[in-house]
Amino acid sequence: MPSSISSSDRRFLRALALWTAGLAVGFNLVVAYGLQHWRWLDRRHDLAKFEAAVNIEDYVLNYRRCPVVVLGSSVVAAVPPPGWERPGVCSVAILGQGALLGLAVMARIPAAPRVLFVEASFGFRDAPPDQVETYADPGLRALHRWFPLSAAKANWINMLGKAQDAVQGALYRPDQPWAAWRTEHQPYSDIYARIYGAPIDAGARRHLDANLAQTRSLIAEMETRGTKVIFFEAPLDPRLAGLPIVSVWHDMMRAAFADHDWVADAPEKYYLTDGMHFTSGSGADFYDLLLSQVPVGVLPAATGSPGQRN
Amino acid sequence: MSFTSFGFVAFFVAVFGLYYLPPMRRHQVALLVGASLLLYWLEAGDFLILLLVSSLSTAGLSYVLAGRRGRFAAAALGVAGNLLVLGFFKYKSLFLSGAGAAPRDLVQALLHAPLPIGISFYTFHGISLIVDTYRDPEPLIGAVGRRWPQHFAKTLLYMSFFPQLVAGPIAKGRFLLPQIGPKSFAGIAWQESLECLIHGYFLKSVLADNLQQFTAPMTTPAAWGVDSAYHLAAMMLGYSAQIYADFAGYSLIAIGLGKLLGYELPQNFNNPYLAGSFAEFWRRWHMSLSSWLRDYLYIPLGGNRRGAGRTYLNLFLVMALGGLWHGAAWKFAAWGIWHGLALMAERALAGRLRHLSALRILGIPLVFLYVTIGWLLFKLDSFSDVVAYLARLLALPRAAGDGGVIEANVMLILTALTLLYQVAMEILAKRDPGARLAAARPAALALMLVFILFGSGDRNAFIYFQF
Repeated sequence: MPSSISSSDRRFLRALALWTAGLAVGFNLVVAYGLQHWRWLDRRHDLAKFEAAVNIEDYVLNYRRCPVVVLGSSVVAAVPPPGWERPGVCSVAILGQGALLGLAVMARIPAAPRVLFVEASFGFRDAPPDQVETYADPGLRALHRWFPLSAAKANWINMLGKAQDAVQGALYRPDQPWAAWRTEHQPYSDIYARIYGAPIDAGARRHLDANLAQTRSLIAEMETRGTKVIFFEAPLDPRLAGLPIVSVWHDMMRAAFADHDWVADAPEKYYLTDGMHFTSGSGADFYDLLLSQVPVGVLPAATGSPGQRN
Repeated sequence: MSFTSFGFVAFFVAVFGLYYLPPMRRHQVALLVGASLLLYWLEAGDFLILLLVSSLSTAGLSYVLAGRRGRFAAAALGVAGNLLVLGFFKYKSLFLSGAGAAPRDLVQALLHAPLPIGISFYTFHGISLIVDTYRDPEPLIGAVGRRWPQHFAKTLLYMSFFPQLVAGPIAKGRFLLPQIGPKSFAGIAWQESLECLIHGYFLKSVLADNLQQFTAPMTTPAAWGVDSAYHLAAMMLGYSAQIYADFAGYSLIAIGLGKLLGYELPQNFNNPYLAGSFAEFWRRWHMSLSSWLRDYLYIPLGGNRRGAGRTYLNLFLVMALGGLWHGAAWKFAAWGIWHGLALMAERALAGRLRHLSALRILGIPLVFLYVTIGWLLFKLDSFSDVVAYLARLLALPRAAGDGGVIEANVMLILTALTLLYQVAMEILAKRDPGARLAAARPAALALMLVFILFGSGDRNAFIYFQF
């Protein structure tokens, strides 16, 4: 450049650079320490907007510690309820999307769990390639490890939400009869009925076919790594289970993976907040149902009382 | 290309590097014109032709206006032409139906064309230049000279200058044209430029983009049914903070980029949510548009010089048209009328309540609340949605639902931060911070920079790009 920067501007730029570097390093050290040592910080809910990213980022950083994985949509967020995890079992709830995105990310990293539970119900949701690239990117993984402020878990907006939402120490089990509970919560399930109520046209059918083909190939990839894949169906409100895209996808998955193990249960056993998502007590029950399918020896023996976070 | 995209940053760095190379010094205007047109073409494609035609006709007519003959006809043609272009492309959808039909020829293609990016801003630049030159040609001649190639090149840069092309600030010809000329690297005000950029990116990426994720459900009426009134109120306040942070952030980035290239752009915001009256709000919000409407619409209509009745009518008309300028929907006219009515009422009561000094303190929250309710007309899809939203908000006691309380709290924290930001800026602007606080300036900016680096929300388009 032909001319120089004035001395006052140089001083300003130097001070700005030093302060920025200092604050960035300082904040990252505090957050890195806090996430490791402040258990109260971890015993809190992530904001819904960040939860998918938090769960996937956590998994790709720690997949070696997860011999059993429960993979699915937001339904899995309460399987188990936060605070009720078992050692060696990692639940990867991908809110707003589903198991397909998780499978695509798992296939891109050397993850090979012994048992993989795959939620079939909302598997029709896409795995956007850019998101798969982002989550599986080794550079970003290193960035999240060394600069935890860049990770969704430590995002300041997420922290603002987490600070208000501690994990409950007891499971919530409504004392109402199931039918009355269902009627009371119908306005919430109405929202999903509207979202998924459209009939399946030829274009949507092609889309489902493509997602099924992708699911097939990803499941095959995981099985070549020695993973036992078990599918499960969320015990949706019967009205939601009967919606066009949900029921068509259900039939497609059942037909495509008829030779696999499946876990399903009667919906009347489970209390759902909105026809889709578990209350904490029901989530814990469904978690137990899933883990009852895990072969002996895969998981370490359970220690501690229920509700003790690992 | 949005200011917040990596593509734009790379583009700007390349232009900036070339711009200050010694051999480019004589070609800086050409470089900026080329960069502006390239960027516009990348964003708007074939609509570049419209920008070029509009610029060429504005340059030609202002060239004629700088002479002695045919001045009125040229001015009328220039204003009408710009208004026609704006009116056709922006408002045709108000009167046309069957927008889904496939275009078969040029006329059909034009009738179904989407809104060209930046058209509301560059046509206002054109009108400003034509009218100012008609009123007094000497400053223009002094700024651009009498040679056509120079006149055309400078007018083209004035119309298309990329930091402000898409969403302003709207600069008058007499403000920007005299600045066009060679710039030196040594002349860059680094501290001012970086301060504008850091404040702008902080407002946009950290506050507005983070608020966007929480206010997005406002446009889904189905979701209101399970929300608490508290959540609905927080979303309304959150959107008010968001639209300020989004547009003020954009404006500051534009001003910062302009400074790095050696150009001053007009201030567009001055802590508008601290206004104690509606008239003051409009002196603080989107100042370049308010000033444009005052100079080229309100005053020519007679302003406040023709009696009370005419003044009220002028206020009403200017605000309704100013509202409609934002988009081809009657809800925008309703938004303008909402503000026009407030200005009229305030004017009517001003004389009687002037002695009540407490009104200024009460006025700040009252104006903020009124303005915030008005933003619902921007955010929601229709006037009926606004009515339904407010009805829902007023009908529900807080206990009616617990949906989204945590999200609502986060929104309110972000809204409070946006308001505190304005309070801090207001205090710093009015009082000399002293040497000790001045030394803390880089630290405060660094803190904002760390938030930009690690705490930005998902990248969203600037709200005002749609206008």
